[in-house]
Amino acid sequence: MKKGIAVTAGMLVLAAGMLGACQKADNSTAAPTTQAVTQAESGSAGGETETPAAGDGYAAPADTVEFSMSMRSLAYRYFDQAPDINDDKWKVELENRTNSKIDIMVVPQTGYVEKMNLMFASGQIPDVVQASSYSDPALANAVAEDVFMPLDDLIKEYAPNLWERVPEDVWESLRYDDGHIYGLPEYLSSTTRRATYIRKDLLDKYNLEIPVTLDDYVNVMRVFKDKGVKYPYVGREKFMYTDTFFGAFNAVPTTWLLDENDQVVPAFIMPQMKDALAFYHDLYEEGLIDKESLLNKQEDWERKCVAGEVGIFQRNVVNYSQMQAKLEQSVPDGEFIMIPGPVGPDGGHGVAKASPYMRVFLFNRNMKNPERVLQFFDYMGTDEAAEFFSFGIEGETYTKNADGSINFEYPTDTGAMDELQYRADWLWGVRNSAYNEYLLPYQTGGNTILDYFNEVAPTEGREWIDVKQMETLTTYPDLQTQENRQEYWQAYAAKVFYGELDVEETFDSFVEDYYKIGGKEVVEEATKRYREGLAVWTK
Amino acid sequence: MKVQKELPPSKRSRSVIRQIYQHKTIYVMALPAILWYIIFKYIPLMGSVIAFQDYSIFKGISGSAFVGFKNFRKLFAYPDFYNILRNSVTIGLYDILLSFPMPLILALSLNEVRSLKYKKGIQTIVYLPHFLSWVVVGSIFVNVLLSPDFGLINRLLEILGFEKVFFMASSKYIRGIVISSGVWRDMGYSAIVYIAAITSIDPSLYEAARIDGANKFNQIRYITLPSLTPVIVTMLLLKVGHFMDFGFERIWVFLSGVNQEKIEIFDTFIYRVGLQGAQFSFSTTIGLFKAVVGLTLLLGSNYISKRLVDKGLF
Amino acid sequence: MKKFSLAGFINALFLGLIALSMLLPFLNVIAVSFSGQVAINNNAVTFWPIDVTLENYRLVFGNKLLVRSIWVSIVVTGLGTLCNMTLTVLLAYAISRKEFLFKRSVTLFILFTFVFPAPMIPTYLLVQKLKMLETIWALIIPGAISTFNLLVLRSFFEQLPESVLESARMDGAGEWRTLYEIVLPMSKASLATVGLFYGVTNWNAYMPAMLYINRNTKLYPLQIKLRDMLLQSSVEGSSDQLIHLSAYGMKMTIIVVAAIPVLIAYPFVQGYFVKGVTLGSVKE
Repeated sequence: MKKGIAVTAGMLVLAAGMLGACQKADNSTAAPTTQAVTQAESGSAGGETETPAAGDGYAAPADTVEFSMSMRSLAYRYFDQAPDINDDKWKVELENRTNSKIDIMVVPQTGYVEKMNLMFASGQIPDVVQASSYSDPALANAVAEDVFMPLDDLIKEYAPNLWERVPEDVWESLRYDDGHIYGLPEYLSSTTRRATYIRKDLLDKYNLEIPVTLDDYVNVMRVFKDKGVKYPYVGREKFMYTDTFFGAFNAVPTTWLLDENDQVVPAFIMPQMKDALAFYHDLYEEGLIDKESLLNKQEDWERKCVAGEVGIFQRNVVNYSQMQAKLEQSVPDGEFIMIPGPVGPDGGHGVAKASPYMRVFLFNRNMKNPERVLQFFDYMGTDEAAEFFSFGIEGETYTKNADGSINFEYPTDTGAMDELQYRADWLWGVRNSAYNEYLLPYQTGGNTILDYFNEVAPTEGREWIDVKQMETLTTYPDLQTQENRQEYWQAYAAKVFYGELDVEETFDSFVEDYYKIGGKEVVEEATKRYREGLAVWTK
Repeated sequence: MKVQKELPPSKRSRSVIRQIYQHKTIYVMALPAILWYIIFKYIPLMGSVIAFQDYSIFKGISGSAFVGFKNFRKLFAYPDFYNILRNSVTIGLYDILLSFPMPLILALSLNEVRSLKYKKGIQTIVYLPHFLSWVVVGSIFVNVLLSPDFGLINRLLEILGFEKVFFMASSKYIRGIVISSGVWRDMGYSAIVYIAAITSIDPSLYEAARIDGANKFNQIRYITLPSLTPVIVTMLLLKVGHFMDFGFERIWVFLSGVNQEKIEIFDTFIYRVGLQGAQFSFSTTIGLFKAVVGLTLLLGSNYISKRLVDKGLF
Repeated sequence: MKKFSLAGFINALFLGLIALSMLLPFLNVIAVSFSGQVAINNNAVTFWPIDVTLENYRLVFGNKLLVRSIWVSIVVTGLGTLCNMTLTVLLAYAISRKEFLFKRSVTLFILFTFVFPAPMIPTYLLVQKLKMLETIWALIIPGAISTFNLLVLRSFFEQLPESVLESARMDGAGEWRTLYEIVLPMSKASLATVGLFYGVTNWNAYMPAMLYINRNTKLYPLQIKLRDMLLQSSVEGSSDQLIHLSAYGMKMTIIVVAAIPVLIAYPFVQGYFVKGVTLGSVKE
């Protein structure tokens, strides 16, 4: 036994050594700073580096720019196929086309916030940092602490294609409290990202018209229930993706509105929230909404939808093809369509408009040659890049006809799909993240998605005041309005939903208590920001 | 046996050194581990100073301002603080009173099983749930057992003629659910310590007792339990030391708007509200607060334990 | 002559029910992992797979990084447990001896760290200074000793009959020999227990990897990779086309894959929990 242990131990140490040797040789803890391999080092702008005007197409500058960048993996499966992204074929091709050499650090999704924080704490800050917003917890207040550099003066000159392509209100929304733009956005051309899905086949089967008003919806749900549909409407934990009817009342809990005194208040204390909550409770009582909605995790909720048990639900538009395909496996004749949300008492419909950008790329203040790095990003705003990222390399992954139209076959193999998604979504970085108009026509169900964005989305959705970074919300975190952090409201809404509290009797004290436990200061700050133009209406 | 004579002070210290030298091997044995504690526990512990600072990741520990007890005052001033404290204490107590005895009872029951095969089989099965993550345990309880229409418990209630209950729709049952899920998951795994301890008991003691006419209960009472006392004391006191560390994930999987007032604890609170950037100072502050409570309780229980059963942790 | 005892029967029944309550969910987990997506979505699977398919397992094991992570976990568990046991046994033994003069102080010394946890950032900075980041040592050394396991082991050592150790000393045996030839063989049950606890912790560990391994994806242990795969199958808002995958089914597969080795290990460990194993080695 003793010898056995010794031998095993020896082998394990050997194995550990081998594993250790396999690690990358470059384990340096210092983030490499930009090194431009030519003259223009002293930071003087203009003149020496080429700055093509927008629309000229892209001409990669002669010098190679080197920089480091951190990007979140977003759990893309492709990284399992290609563990070292820096050797990846598409990334290398991108580098060739832009004459750059990038050290990309892919930060895994698991523990992303902790990892970023630790990285910063140990003094490593890459040249370019990707984050979900200026107040991303992963940044640990970096923007406020002056870690990044303002870009406004430089973008127009060194990234003209981007300047043109990204809508102006997106650039405006990227202004921090001090008025400067600190990041390049992964923007959304449509801030309406979610749709109301409904089972067209069931509507047809029971001779129902597509519902428009709130009453229509209720009628449809009642018929569904009558005819045996298990869940006429289904919700999810924390009321996420459950705000179809909140939208109708203009009481979406993630939004801020002006109250009767012209104060900026969270929608959840507006009077219409009372009606909305009463409505949801009635749905609960009548069995029109899944009783266990607030217990549904994402998998549970999705399972119910694609198993054919649900009549109406809310989901992102881009998931349409996937949802439809999965539904067909359980219910061959099943058909989802995406319709405008219920029209409420005030005539409006739709849920909260999203923030105009999904992610931002921030520039480290200590970066040398930010102009050159901007030129790298500028590539992403060109038509040539759109073609590259969407379709790949001409002759290899697609071909072009004489008239310029593209021959492309959307992959069906999992590995190829992962690769496409990686290149067109992840690698493209600064792009329209709402949908890829180039690729959609080639995708099953893609035209349905495109139609929704073109026809329904423009008039769908609720506008609200985006208060952005608020100090009082750090002091009173329960009063936040972020989708899964609205603790104060959630506690109340859940109880009303289940019937534990009567909304008619308790809503007023709910609002009063809000002001008492810190809401007063929160509203003051929000209103002040609004008056100063720091808190703005969404578009 | 050595006889200690009363030595004059100067000779006493020399005698101490001589004693150490005589048994130097034991001290050498202890050294690597002690070094480890110093390096990997005590040195980082110095970093707890963050709790007394206005810590910024970018300024680092040396660059961040010292603010004394400001973070603690902020913590105590927080409106929900007393509620969270009450939850932590209540759940901690339930955990000790209800969860602690179960593994022991399980070990004792297993010990009485005569068929070795049955015993081993049961032992293996009950140790399984520990390997399910809390996410899975949570969904087993919420979906399989407690679902309002088809959950097993409700179906049982129906058969017995009672009304169905939507357990997760209020905060009434949530503490019980949280504690039971913990018992279900970890009972078999925690029992292993007692099972191992029982095997070390001299079987001849049982023989003698049987000859004297003692029945099973008396055997357990006068032989098994006393022999297990040192292990039980160790396990209990260690649990007390971590009194307010119930565990993040096991609460998180059940936490919802409707029950958070009854089961919210410090760890979930920090995560839940995601205090942009202020997390580190704050969580260190909370960590220190919990630790002080745990230490106090530990010292107290150790004292009581020594008075009661003549055995403590130190 | 075995009598039928009512108490014994009730006892066995009680245990049987508890075990059943634990076995059934596990059977369900295994069944789902082998079931087809449609059946899973329709909630049709109870204890036996429906539309038996190996798709989920194919996805999991087809992932090169995952297979590699299994290997990493094996090394970490083996090497790690070895480190754990060495350090723990030595210290536990030392402070269990009545000759150890600083028993109480050392116990308090380690208990203090049990109650006062080292904060995350300073620990990370320390690991970074020691150049252990992105190496396998970060998965082994920072967590090398569990105070809980240490004190449990100490309480077992303290219960060893003093007479045996005395007679060993009379025979002129040094501490190392006493430990190796007498104490350890007598402590098989407790060593197996603590060894199992360490082994399981190492196998299930993901925090160290999450904090200390960033770029070196080849060093991901199994648990990290599994969590990753779980996220991959449920990212909201991705224009994902993977239609033949049920996130729920994937979740169950992942649980089975992570749990199997531990389940296999337990029966071996159980061999040490046999009465009289301790006594057999005592020289009277």
